[in-house]
Amino acid sequence: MSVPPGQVVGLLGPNGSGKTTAMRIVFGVIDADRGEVRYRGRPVGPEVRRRFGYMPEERGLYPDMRVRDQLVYFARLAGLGRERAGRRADALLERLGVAERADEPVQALSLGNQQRVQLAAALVHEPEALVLDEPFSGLDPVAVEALSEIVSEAAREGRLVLFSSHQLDLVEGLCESVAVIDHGHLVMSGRVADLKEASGRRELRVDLEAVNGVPWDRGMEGVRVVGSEADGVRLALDPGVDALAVLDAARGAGRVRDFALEQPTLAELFLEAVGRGRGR
Amino acid sequence: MSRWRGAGLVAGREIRERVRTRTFRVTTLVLVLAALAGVIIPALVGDDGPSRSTVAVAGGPAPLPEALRAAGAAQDRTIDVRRLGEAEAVRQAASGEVDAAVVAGPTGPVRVVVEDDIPDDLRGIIAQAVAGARVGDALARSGLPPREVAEVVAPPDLEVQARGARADVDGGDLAVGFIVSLVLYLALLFSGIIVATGVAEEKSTRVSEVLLASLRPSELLLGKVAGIGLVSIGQLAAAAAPALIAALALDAVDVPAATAGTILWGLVWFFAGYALYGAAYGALGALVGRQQEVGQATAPLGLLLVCGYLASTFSAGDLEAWWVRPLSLLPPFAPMMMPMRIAGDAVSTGEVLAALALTLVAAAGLIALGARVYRAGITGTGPRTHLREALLATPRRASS
Repeated sequence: MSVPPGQVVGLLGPNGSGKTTAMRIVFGVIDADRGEVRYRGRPVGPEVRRRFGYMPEERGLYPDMRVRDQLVYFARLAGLGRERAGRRADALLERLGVAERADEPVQALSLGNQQRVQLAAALVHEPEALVLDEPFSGLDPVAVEALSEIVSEAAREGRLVLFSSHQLDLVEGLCESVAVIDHGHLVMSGRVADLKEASGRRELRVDLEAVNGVPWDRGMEGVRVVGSEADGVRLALDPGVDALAVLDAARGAGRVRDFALEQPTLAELFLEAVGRGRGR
Repeated sequence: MSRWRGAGLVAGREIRERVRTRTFRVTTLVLVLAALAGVIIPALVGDDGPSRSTVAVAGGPAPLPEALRAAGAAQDRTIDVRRLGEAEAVRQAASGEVDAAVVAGPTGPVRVVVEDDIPDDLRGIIAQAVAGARVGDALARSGLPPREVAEVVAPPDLEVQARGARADVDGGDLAVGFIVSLVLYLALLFSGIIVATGVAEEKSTRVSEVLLASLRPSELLLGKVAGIGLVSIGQLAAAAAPALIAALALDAVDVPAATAGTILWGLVWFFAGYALYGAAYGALGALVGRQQEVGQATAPLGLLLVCGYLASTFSAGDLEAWWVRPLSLLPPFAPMMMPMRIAGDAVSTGEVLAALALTLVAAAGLIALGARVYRAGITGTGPRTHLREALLATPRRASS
């Protein structure tokens, strides 16, 4: 898999698939059994890693240390001078809305704020690449929104951004590309839009107020009923089937309250890729 | 970034964060107060001086009371003498009002009446005094002038010359050795546990993973050990300085000859021993899954330390015993045992330097080995990494 600059790339996989292990290999915390991590075509060594930012799952901060001291410390370890480290820390804390907590120990902060500080710690030395392990786990939607914004911005600034998640609904809106791994193997990767397109699957959802109970949805070529749910009937359309013609058939049978033509969700692609399709 | 800058930043953080904690302030205060109390309380209580006895005298030669006082003084015992009639003397002795009643004639047996028992030294004092008084009495009656009689019968000042093998071992010097090896034992134990706890905290909070992106494991371990060590030295100095000043001001202690040298060597041995034990504690700290397990995981090191301390204590009894030299050369025991041998002046400088070199080499090896165990331990997120696994070449794979 590769992580191009300027894009947010999601590393997805079920629990135990090797997401954290892959990230730890990037940072040299553990050695790879096989394979190699390259950055700009060169194997990654300690000097290069110093230009990366890493946010391990949960924690990754000293609980008793004060927020600002912590950021300055990490920045200086990455090679920044004292003054510049201080300025960067202040700017990030301001930006992340935790500036007024700068002199409190990390453990006094709420989980959401701790995760903001963690993200700040990963960003404080202006890394060229940002690697985030489950950055959104346990956060409320407001915090997710705030952190997503910063992650996207980091990518827009031209950094490499790789983050892992098993919460696919969160990933869907945030990352342009994904890599799906399972049992340590890459099972799918690419731009989300391309992957959806390539799957060739479309579903038409029609919520119909039937007038006379005519089974309008049966017998059309290339159309399969995959389910009937509260928000309507779901029809899987084969490639080449005109969705509008199917919709017309529905309109002939009654009043259409709501309809939608949907590409498969990332979750569906994901489940398919890891070989556990829902089987409908 | 140079290796030293990384280790320096780590050490700097350790110092700042430790000094900032409440625990640090409290323990420093306790140490300062304990050291001050150790100096001031004995000075206030003071020496009780020689022990005191009251002796009733009935009969006997005229100089007997004076002879009792003189013989008592020679043995560090103040004797108060009451001249009484025989019946009264015996009554007071029987009721314990006096420690002994001496009933004697010019010659012949002497009766000593006591309530229950008589201390050996008092028995000796009485015998010596009666004999002296009788001789003095006889000499006086034979016409010798009283001044000369007094000179003959007074107990002489004894000049003691020790010529044996252990003759030059001074109790005060050994006491300094005891204190230095006790302080070393405690300082190594506590700083070691602080190192192990700190490493375990970094592991359990996954801070270590972030740090390893910027630092080599050896830099991390070295910085941590150095920072905590400097804080410990500073804390000891903070406790020792006021106590020393108080001691000088109160003139409370006779400073034994070996003090300065032993304390300086003690400092050197703290550095060497701490480099050794700090690295080992750091490595073992990285193996635990939770901070609470640190005590259990590092227990073997605590055992080594206590063995070294006990060996040092026992060696004071006989610094020339066959086992003292080989044990004191072994790196794990040298830091506690050498100060005692140095204090007792029972070791050559060459031997001390050899032991120091051995300890430092062992420490350097242990820092390298510790860094490896540390890295393997850090990456193991399970409940407990075993030392053997950690020492094997490939670090453990972590689960996702």
